[in-house]
Amino acid sequence: MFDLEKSIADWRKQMLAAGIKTPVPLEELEIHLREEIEQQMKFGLSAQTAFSIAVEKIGQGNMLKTEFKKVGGLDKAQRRKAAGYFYSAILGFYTLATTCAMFKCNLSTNEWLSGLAAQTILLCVAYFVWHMAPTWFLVITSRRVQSAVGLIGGISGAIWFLVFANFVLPCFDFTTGQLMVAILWAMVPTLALPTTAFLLLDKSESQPSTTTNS
Amino acid sequence: MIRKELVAASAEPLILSLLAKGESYGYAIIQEVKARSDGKLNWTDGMLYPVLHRMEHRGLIKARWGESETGRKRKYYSLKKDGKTAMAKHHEQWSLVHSVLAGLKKEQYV
Repeated sequence: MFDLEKSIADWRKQMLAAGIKTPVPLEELEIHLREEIEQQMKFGLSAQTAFSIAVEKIGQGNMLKTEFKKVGGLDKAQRRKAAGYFYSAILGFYTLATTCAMFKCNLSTNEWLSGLAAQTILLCVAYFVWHMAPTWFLVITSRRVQSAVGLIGGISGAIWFLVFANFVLPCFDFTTGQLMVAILWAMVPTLALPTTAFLLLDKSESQPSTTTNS
Repeated sequence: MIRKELVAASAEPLILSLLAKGESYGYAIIQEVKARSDGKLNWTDGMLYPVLHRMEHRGLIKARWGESETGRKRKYYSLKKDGKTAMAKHHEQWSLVHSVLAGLKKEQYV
């Protein structure tokens, strides 16, 4: 005599043995199985046949396990979102820190305006690069070129700041306020170059084999 | 029968579009897709749940446990704001593919 509840319990054990151990997916799958059995029985099938059909429709445990395993990982959209939060936090911190520094340096009105302009331009560049550039930049699919672009972007930003600090600044006899403003302007390419390089790579990673604009 | 690659690729836009009409649960989603495609879009039932969980993990949909009219426990899914955005993007992309294909097909008969 066919025992539906025992068969469902056995199926549950098989799923557990296949590796679906977390309670939520297994419970959800069991609910689905029961709904399907009920539906098949409404069509006039016996409990045994309905059970067999429902089990076949649900699929094999090892296949499902592989698919459930993929759930935890971060996909590209999430990585971009996380990177967005990271950049926003860095820019927020940078803006706050430089504004505090400007207050401490007792800047003149012109220096304040120039400093704020440098901050604004950096934020605008960051916004532009983040939101607009991915649809405009060409996609780089070659791994070597990707590495080269990333390296060049990162290094060029650092080199520019070193050149500025070691060769440009010593040529001028700046007051504290002027020095502050000069550093703020120097920071624009220092941060913009690596960010642009990163986005070139980000774009190429997100669309490895297509060139549609989305 | 539709190729499995296409079935897999269409799962997310179809789920998002179905949930845009209101919250639903796994079994009902499968039945509706089957009915709307005259049985031609045939998902392996169990495979829907990893897709739903992945979408939930990505913040496209949210889930809540509830009860059916008969008292059976059910997990209901509904669309989140990011899901609506993703759905619009899917519609745009699938419409583009459709229009290109339709255009090419039309040219064959001119």
